[in-house]
Amino acid sequence: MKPKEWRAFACSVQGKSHAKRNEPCQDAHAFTVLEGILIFVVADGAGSASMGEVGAKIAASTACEAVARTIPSTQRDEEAWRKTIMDAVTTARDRMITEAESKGGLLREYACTLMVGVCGLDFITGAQVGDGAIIYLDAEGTGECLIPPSSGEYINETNFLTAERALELISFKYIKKDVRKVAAFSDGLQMLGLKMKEGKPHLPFFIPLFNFLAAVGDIESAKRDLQNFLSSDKISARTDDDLTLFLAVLGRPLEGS
Amino acid sequence: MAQNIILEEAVEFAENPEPRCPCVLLLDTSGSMKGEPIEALNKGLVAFKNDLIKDPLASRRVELALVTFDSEVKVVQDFVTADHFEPPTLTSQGQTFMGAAINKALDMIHARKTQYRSNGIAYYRPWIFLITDGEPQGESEIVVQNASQRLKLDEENKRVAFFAVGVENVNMEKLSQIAVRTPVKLIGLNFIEMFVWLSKSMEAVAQSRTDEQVALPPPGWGTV
Repeated sequence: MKPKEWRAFACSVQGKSHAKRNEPCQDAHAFTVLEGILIFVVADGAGSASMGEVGAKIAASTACEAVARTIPSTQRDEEAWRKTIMDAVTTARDRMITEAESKGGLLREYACTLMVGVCGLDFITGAQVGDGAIIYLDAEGTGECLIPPSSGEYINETNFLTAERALELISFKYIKKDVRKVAAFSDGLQMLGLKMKEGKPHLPFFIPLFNFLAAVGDIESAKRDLQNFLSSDKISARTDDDLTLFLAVLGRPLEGS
Repeated sequence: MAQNIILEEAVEFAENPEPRCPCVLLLDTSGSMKGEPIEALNKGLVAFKNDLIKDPLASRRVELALVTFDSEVKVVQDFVTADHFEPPTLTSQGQTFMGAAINKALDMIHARKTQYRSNGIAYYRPWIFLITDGEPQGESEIVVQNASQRLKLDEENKRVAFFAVGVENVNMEKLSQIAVRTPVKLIGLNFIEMFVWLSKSMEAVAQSRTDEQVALPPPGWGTV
């Protein structure tokens, strides 16, 4: 029997309010599976920043590559992961500074949130600045947020990677757990995906999605289905923001992969 | 009685768990508004409602309260979501107790935020629109000064976004002394753009005054 491996997909779709105004989708994501380790990143460009979508793209791809390059040799070492992930976030931020400088723009016009997550067979770790959430389910089906959601007084106000004190505002977490399913999503899905008051994932939203991902035969058509779902009226009746949803389940490998 | 009110709140917020954006319309109904200005104001209220209900999310998120001020300050409508708002027809009379009205609006917003928090409802920064043709009149100078100071403090601490809106022929210069932001004109005010602009994700930390001034609404929002 083949060993279990991570099956992952993700999708970012433009929100209704952005579509109406010809504004780009300001969310971005990146993920990869390397040596059985799942690395995923979600970034959400600030609506109030003119280059938010560029910032989000740079942050997502840079952070994902940086983590992939520096996977610690001892995988059960919290401090080693802290260094890898925090360094990746710093690298992403530096890359945004370089971009802003080379274009003669202000760093704050590239403002975005950032979530970086890493999942092994018996741990999950990650860091986050700003809103959105990483959630996971263990072998018993218990769901938790990796980092409890925090927001300012107002729902549309959050912290960005471009803030002067951004590196102090990052939360890092390492949890030893037999993680079976994991999701990351931008704030556009918070209304559906989180029980904000308790700071827990709303599992009825995720379980059908995880089941869907576990059952699909073809990842490309599954991605299209997810895209259609995120653009559907059911979702857009609750949010007009850009949406990113990353999902991964531990399961048997896909045929032919 | 108090029990009943809390129970009703539970239903209100359970039926509509959307995050809320509380908005107080502070309306000048003093004698000088007689004729065209009060008609423009009444039309503006209808336009405001029509604008908001066109957007299904805004109609469930923006909550309106109406306070009129002349020789007295009256809560004509306590907070309701835009889909439940019925624009009244206002008449004009008396003096201009603007300072007392600003105080009332700030009190109402404070109380509403407390209700949101106890019901676990997320919210946006509250707005106050002061729609007027002129300046305070008939109040003691102290009341006006205190209201103006309280307002500036609340703006600085991001407790509220306060907009002065002038009906036609208003003295815009006088109006700009009351509000921190540049006053705008009522005619052509696009409330949906306003909602979109105000609900965009932004930095949580307080920004300096100069930054705040830069963050003016997009073109088409109204004449500045």
